[in-house]
Amino acid sequence: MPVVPTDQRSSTARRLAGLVEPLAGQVYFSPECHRGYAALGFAPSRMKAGAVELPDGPAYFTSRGSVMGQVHGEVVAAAFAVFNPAVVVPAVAYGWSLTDAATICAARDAGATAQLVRLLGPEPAGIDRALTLVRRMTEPLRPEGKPLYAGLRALGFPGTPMGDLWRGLDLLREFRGDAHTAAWTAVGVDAVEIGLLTELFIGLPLRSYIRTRAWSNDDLDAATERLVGRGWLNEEHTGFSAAGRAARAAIEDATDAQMAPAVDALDGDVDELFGLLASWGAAVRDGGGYLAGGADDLARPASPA
Amino acid sequence: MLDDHLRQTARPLRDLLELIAASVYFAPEAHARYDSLGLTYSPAYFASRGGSLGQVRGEVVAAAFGVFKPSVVKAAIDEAWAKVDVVTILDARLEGQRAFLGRAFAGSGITDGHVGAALDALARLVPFASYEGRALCSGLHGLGYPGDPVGDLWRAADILREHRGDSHIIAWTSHGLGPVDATLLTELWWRIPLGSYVKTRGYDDDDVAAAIEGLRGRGLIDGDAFTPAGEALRAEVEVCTDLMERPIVEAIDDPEALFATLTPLAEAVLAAKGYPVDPRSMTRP
Repeated sequence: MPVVPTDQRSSTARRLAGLVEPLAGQVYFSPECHRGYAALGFAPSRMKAGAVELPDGPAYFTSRGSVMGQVHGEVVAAAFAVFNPAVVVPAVAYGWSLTDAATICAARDAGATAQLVRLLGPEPAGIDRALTLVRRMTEPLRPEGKPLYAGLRALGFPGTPMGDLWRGLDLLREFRGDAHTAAWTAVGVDAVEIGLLTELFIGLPLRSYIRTRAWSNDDLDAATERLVGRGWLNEEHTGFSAAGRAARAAIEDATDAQMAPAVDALDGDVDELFGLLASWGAAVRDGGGYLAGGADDLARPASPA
Repeated sequence: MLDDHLRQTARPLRDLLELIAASVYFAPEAHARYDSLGLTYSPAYFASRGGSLGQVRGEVVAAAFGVFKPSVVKAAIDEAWAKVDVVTILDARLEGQRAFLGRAFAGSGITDGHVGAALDALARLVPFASYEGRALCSGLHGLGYPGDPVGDLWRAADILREHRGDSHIIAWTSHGLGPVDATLLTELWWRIPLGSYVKTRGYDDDDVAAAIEGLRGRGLIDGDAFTPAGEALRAEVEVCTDLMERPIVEAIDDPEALFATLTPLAEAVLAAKGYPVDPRSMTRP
């Protein structure tokens, strides 16, 4: 039996995802990471969203994929799930021509931790308590069918307060990501379709954010036709039908449901942890470590660095 | 009814592919090669199948295989990578299965033309095997085709087999089941005794007893049998898996013709004792 009622659990899981995002997702915008990957031969960051430095594509795919080990690009494409494999596969092959998994994974950890230390200090007040709570949450999360989460778990905790916080939050982020992939694939939705549905779900125009996933206009046209065929778009093909809105909401609920062991483990300590994460996340955003508005910032044109 | 067509095509296809593709796990020709590399059954199984992902840690192999106890997988993978690298074991796997299938097909009088027709039929389905969330299927894609008819036929069959396997893990995890739960319910789905197969997945008596108690507590089994709710849940997991096969099934023009092409190959595997049981005898249609 759930410790926490389902509705409340879903809402807690979703708030958690929002609070974790700037602190874990900052790895993809960390100047320390960009410099670390450039030292391995990758291109430096060349574009900005506001003050935030956007990642080089091959460095992004190779560094995040490296948590699974020295895997083929096809495996990275499968695990990330939403990107066009035609872009992922050559990017990862190029990445492995420059470096190996252990080296770039170490640069990833070092760069992510360095940005957090620069913006928050090495041991911000409350970090010990946050670590205790985050580890309590990750402990019961199962690895089956969750390749990115499983890979991170195998890396272990680095052993410094900020390193451990980074690992714990990345574990929570990737577990939810793996769970989300399971939730949409389980209802027969594909990568392009979920991209379009998610744009509508978070209130973006169609064909804005999904551009970051490297699909062609033909891919987007074909996916739109499939969604129309399922009755999930309105007559103008500009927004959800009622059925489409419900289907997309159900996918998010199914994702939340998989977070249940973590949410239940947090039990009565939600407010305490969330307060700490909120203040740190705001500091990371203020410092230009993560997109000011959130992932939607990537839906707008970037500017040269 | 489209869903009936989906199920009635996807499930027989699964059984035929299982014999053609997964006979590699029983082929003496493969085991002899692993043996000469110093690998016993367990490290050879996990590393040869997991090697499609690359030379990855045991935890990642366990996540991709889904149903095996992670600590058992990790120990086996650590042992394997201490003795061989991924290229070596993948070569042994391919050579072993090529030799086994060659023997099995020759023994049943399967012609080169028949192998070519089966390869054509399966290779045209491979592009419809969706990559999203499917690690093993995608890893095999990354290996490419070996370049000989029997090797290519096996690779295509293995890609399609792992597609359903990857989808099945998504189905049971997203229905709130753990690996032991899922395997126990599958035993009852196969109509074999509860607890009779799950030990092959590395779980011990305590793991199994705890999972059985959990399933009883959730009202999914009563004693050692399904409750109606448990049987319905397990059926739903299989339907969910079928649903994820839809793009492949929709690409099959004539399922009966495909089955007619694959059945003699599958039966040649059985005749050569390449698989311990006929999966067609266990499937629920």
